[in-house]
Amino acid sequence: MSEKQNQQNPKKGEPWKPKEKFDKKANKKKQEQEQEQVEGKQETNKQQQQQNQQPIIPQQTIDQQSSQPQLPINDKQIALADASKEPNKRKDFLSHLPIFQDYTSVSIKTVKQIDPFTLHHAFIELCIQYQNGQCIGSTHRCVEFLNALKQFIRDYKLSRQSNYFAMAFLDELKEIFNLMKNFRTVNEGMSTSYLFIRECLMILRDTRLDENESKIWLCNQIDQFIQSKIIAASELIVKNATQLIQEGTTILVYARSYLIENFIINYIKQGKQLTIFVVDNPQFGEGSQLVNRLQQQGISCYQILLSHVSYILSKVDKILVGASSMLCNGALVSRVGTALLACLASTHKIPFLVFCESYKFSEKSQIDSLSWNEIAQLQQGNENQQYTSLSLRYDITQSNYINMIVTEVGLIPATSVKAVIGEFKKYNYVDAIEVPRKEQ
Amino acid sequence: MNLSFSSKSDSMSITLKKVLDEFTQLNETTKEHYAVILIKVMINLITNSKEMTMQGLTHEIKTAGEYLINNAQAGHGRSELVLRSTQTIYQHYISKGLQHSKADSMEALKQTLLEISQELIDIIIRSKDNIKTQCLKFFNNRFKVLVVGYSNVVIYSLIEAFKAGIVMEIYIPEGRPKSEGIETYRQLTEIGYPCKLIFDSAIGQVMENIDMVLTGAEAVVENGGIINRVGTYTTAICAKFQKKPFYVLAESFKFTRLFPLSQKDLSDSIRYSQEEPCFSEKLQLPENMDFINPLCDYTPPDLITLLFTDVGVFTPSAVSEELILIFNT
Repeated sequence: MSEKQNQQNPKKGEPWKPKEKFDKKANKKKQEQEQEQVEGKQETNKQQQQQNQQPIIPQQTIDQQSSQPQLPINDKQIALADASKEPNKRKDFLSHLPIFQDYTSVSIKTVKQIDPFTLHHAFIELCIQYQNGQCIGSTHRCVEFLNALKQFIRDYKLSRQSNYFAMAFLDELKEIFNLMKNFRTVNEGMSTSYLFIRECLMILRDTRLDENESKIWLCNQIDQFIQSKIIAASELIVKNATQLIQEGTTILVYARSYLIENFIINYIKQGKQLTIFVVDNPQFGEGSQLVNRLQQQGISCYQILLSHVSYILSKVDKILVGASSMLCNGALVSRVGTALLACLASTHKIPFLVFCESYKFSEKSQIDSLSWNEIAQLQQGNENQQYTSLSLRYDITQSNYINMIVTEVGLIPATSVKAVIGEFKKYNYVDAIEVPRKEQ
Repeated sequence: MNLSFSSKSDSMSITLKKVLDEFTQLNETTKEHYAVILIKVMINLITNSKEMTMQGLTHEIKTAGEYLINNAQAGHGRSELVLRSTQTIYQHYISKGLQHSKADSMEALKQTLLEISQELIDIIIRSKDNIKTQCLKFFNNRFKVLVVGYSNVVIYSLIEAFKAGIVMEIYIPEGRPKSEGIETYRQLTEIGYPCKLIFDSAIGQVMENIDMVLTGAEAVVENGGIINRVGTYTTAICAKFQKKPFYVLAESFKFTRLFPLSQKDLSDSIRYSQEEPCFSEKLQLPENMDFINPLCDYTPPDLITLLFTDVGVFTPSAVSEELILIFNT
């Protein structure tokens, strides 16, 4: 098969033998299909997938599929009105966005029969958690990704021919990252951590550590990244925010953000009073999750829906939201609905504050919500419905609606994101990475 | 043990009093800017300090600065913001200098600090000239300018413009309750500008004839807004509505790390003036009148067109980047 041929063309000096690398436990799981594959392969895959999951759809659509540039995975819940057209692919203005199929561990096994690629079991668990909503939220996803990566590093064994851990692992990392993109889009935090690990591997390549020491050092670096960029940053942000918000103010929060949750819990534990309105998310229900978690800590708050916000705004002093990422032009990428809230806030002249760690700052630039986004699945009862669902995960809030960003670097206006990125690039995202020395 | 502890705090309070006396004395005798006086006082503090450690010295500078800011009668009713921002920048340069210095002994260290301080004084003294050079490109003959408040930098730039041959019509609002506009009027008419004094309530009516608005600043905050004498915010709103450019002339040592989101976020010492406003004797004031007398107000960055500083001409969004550069290098 063509993939095996790709595998057998090795890179210079490095034969690639997948099955020898993992231990027995990992060998049982198989990997996902790559996006850049031969079209003939894709058709057979699709045929089998369709036979497995969608017996209703007629076979004539396959020819139409092969003649178009494609997304290899079909969305079973979207049905077009015109039956003669391709029922499983979007043809509207969202056709450029990635669609992710729902996988369970059973369906992965059927897919894996076609595909000999293997993916470590930690990543498969992670991807399934991404899919079914157990692991959502940018910080949570990034931390779980790094934990899975650490497990992978520990299980990883170099093949006999290649002596250098760093170079082999670099390719491995790239493969994993590309494969994970099949499940859900990679958010900015994960990209930054990926770049950071690549920097570490570059440094590792120039040293002469052996395999075990390299692994230990790399795991330590990942721990350091999590500690300084996520945990310590969150503490600093909470501290900065506590000085901003005076006692007795009324705040409005949207959906569920790790930072804002920490901030509220911290603030109330210091004995100060706060009136909290939690706005619930229409599709994902993250607002109710936040309310539950706050109630577990003994904090009472009001819960309202996004459609009810306009009458409550006159009573609100400040609006706090979390971020998936901050873009270079000062725009905020966050859970869908945030842009609505920002427009309302600016009309009522209510300060709109964003809580975002600096590792989520991105060099991308976007002005509207549609050029890049992620389609979310709507839970529909009837599969044969005659309309197309339009449900996105993220939206873009422009910089002129954002009053202030609270980061661990300090309080900055939305236009200074690129200055902060420039500062961090000088330091390789964390302070200078300490070069490992061989132990005597 | 107890004796030595109390003697240390005693000596500290003596130093603080000396520092304060020096500051007030220099303020009254010389005509220099508060920032320059502050740093000169700090220079004397460093030369006379008996501290033997770096930490001790920095701590002493910090406490002295705080004491000065809280207690100095900054005169002309100016708020403590200028002193505070200068002190922050000064401390930052000091700590950077200490980090990078290769001095071995306390004397050599003090020498480095004194050099840094002198450099900072030079920068501050030259800042007015830098601002003036950049401003001149924006002034033209027969412009109508509204000058808000009493700012040394604005007056200096206008005087230099006059000497360069640019004659503009100046409208000066009186600037109650302190009536600082009258001082501006006096200084500008001495040079020869055709000036007109207007009442604060007439700003809206006059605005349609104006070509640009000039003002100074007490402090420039992180998002590019300014904190200035009360009345600036109102004028800025009028100018924005009438689509007139609103220019702020501020030196770089006025940049602070404050970030107010509204008028409520200013500290109490800035929001409430300590002085009693004076009213004309012809008015028959009721007894025990209750009034709101703020000292300064906050102008948000979307009302400001450009900021003229000695490090360059900025839009308000660039101020934050400058601050990051100052405080991160």
